[in-house]
Amino acid sequence: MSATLRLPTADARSRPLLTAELVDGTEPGSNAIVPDRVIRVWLFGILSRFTTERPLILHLPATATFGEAIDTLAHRLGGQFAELVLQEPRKTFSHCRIFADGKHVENLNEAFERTTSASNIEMILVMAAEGG
Amino acid sequence: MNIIESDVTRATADDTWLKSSCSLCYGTCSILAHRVDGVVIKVEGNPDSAVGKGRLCGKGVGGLMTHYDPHRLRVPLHRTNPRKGFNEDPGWKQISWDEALDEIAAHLRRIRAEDPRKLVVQRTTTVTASRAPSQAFVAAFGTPNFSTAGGGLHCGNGAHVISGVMHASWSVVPDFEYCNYAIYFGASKGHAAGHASCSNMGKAADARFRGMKMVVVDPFCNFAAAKATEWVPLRVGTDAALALAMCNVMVNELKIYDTPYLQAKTNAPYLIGPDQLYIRDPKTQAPLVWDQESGTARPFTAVPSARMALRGSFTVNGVVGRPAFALLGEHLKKYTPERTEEITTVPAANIRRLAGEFAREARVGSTIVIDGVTLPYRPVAAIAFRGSQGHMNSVYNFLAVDLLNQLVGAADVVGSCLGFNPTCYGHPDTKLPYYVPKADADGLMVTGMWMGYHYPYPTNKPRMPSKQLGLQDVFTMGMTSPFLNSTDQEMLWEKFDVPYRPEMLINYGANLLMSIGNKDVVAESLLKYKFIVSFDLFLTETSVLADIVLPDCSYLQSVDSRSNFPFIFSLPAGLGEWCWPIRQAVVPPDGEQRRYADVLLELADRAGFRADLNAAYNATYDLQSPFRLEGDRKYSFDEICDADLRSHFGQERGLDWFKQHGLIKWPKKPEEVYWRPFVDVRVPIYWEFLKPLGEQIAAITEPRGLKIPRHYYQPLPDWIGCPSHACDAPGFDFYAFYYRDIIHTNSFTMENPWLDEAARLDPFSYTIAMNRASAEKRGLKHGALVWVETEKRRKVKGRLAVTEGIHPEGLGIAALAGHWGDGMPIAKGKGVFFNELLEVDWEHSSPVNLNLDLCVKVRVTAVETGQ
Repeated sequence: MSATLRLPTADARSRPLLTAELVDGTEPGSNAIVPDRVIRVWLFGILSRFTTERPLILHLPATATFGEAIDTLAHRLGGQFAELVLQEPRKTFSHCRIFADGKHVENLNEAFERTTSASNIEMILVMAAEGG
Repeated sequence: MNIIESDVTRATADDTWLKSSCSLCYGTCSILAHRVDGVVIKVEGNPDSAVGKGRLCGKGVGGLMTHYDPHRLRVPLHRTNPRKGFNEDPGWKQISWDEALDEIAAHLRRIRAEDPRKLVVQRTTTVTASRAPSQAFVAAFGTPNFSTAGGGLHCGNGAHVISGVMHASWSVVPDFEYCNYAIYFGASKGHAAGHASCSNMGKAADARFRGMKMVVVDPFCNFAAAKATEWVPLRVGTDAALALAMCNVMVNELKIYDTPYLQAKTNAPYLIGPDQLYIRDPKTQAPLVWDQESGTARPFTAVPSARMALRGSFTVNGVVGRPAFALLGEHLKKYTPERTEEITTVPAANIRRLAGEFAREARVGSTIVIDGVTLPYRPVAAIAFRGSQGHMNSVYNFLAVDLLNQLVGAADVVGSCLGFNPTCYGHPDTKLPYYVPKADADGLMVTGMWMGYHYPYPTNKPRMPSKQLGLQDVFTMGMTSPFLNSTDQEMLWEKFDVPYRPEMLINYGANLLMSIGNKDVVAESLLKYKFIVSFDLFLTETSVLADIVLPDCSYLQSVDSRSNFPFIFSLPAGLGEWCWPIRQAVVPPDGEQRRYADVLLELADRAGFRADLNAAYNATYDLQSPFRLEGDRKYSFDEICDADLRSHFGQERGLDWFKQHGLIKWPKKPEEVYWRPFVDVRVPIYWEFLKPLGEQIAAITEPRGLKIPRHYYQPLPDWIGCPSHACDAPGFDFYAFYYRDIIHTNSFTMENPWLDEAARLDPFSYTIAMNRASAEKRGLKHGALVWVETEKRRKVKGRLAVTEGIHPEGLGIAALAGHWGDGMPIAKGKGVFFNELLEVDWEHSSPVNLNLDLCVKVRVTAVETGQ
């Protein structure tokens, strides 16, 4: 069972995040894949509370998938971010909308290079409950 | 008056017909508004549009009386009396828009910095144009607390969820052009109310004239039943029992069902283990079926559907499994017509007859050729809506009715029960909008289009309710929640450690005090807010509790680029045309009235989240490059509408093009309308996911003292009684219910003088309907003033209208009447406020989909002199 979600406070938001120079998703000293894709991530709405950077810069291997990009973000921004976005690993909630260069991303297992040049990723949570 | 194109195009500036959209209900029919010297003198249906086809109901025709109502708000108001309550005069003081927006923006900035979830946004269902701007605003701001007030709570959680799971659509109708036998359970589709109301009115009338038999199952013989071939009165809230008994007769007595459909398009052949779950392939995790040719269990993807067993018992990997259909057949046996007669009061012989008529009229196995395409032909439809689903057991009530369709393959094929346009291949020029249902890993259907992002299937995994005040994080099948206004909200929030409390409410047009339940209960929840802003046409009972009231524009003063999109909401189903109309301003704002969507943009600018709002509009409108909104650039709502239209229909078709033409349309293809044979998806006749969902929810709630009744989470539907069915207190012998009066929309139209006059002429709009024999037995006479009282001592007063056209145990109250505020003087004091009788709490909410129970057991007594 998950713990109660508490959003980052204003203080937490002002803390600097990991620097853009880090190779995300790799351990120091490992056989890191040389990153050759720079991706700017724009977080909107409630997700914008997790960073003061807009855009947030990710360095990922050319073969990376959107799911790996989300994992990297979750690793960087913490469990609360992951709780809002992911209902299980590699599966976002239906109300989490991800756009790569303006195109809606539906399959997180697809590599960037297969769908788009993807220099910009926009992510927003769109909530809606309706009746009538 | 018949309008021809030349009349429209030669119009002069002071004598003009403008093409737009109605907004007197959410049907949003296309209209022509006649403006002379700056005054709208008439509103008619637009014959060029598929939405209404030139027809307009009484509400639509009377719309200009709402627009020109002298009691409309014209200036922003600020309360001067800090005390709030029913007996407190707010001490309204006129303020400037700058003052109002500055104060609201200051609250928004503070809350967004602290915790954006403290903002709650509620909107009325009446004005569909408020949906997308509200949705974008809450996403940009960062609050998940967005609701559709009573309109959503009372009719959304069952009908729309199950329509989504079974038909990939918001709602269902008969395929009026080809249907020969329609049975309605508490629905009035095609009778001047609801989705695509005017279009469906014409279609239903034509169908009846053609000879379609229409059977209406309803405690009250009103709008639909009065035009039906047969009215079947039943005890309030027992629809599921009747539908399941009919299914039983079809499967176990008549043995009429559509085997190929069940094999190919449902999970009927999936093998179910003793744990009530699918038996899965150990390697792929795919559900297994029994291959009758090889005599082995194999993944459903590996067996031609015709070879899948629907009956029998098979040992697989050491466990005994049975096809879901076999379990359904066994399950149905307990709903004998005789036992069901005791539950519903419908005679057993009638149940057998109705089941036989439905099954035989389905013509299982037949096909028809339309436009050169050979299609399955099943000219029967079982339809449910607000009446049958307005109960705690709404999931099963609705599912049981739809099983009738599924058994004979009458789902989204010619003549059958149709979803509203679940598949669209887009405009020929742009291929937009494009959506088709798709299958999940279990082969079950995921809707291709939805009104928001709370998809009906697959359900999200239940979690601690730390996001939404309505607790939809844990009750993931619930769309609209009663807990924003319930008696026990604080207790529930404490139980679940919800880490914040609501502080600010933005209300768009909803009269929450009237639309949800008992007014004292709702008022208590509203008084907890530190700050309430209300956008209104009139000062309502609810806006009297606000801190700031903003004067809204009417539909004749507003713009909307998508007044009938998504197509799953209110575009007519069946063959015909795709049609995307707009709403345009026919007259300017009066006084200081401003459009809601523009005010939200201004607030985002002042509170510093315009970039977020632009991004949210990109997502909400699915804007494509180069029409996506950029960065924090300031766009007007007209510009956003222009981007929406160009993005969907090409550079040359922007807002100005649409203002001239009113709409764009193109022909539907048979394979779009009758999509089911062309899309490889299945629907669940056996809701296997319900049981684990219930266990997951119970694992969260039960350690916190909230018991989950497991009989609501069984994979096969049952009839479960409401609290009213368990009430046996002496004297409490009527099941009170309310029904949609086609003259009115929610509580809003009661102020319209034409509609008020019509309602006063109607014998039932402002009265309490009781069966004549039941009244006589109690010595009550037509016109008598009576108290209607619940066990909890909630009570309302009204005049009786006695009639043979209501079930002897039913007590029918129309619409949402009984206004008491001074801001809507025509509405004040008219009719009966049914919702006053309703409890709003966990005990009266479905533990599956949070549906509020809308029937209540009551005592009826004559009002004594002087009371």
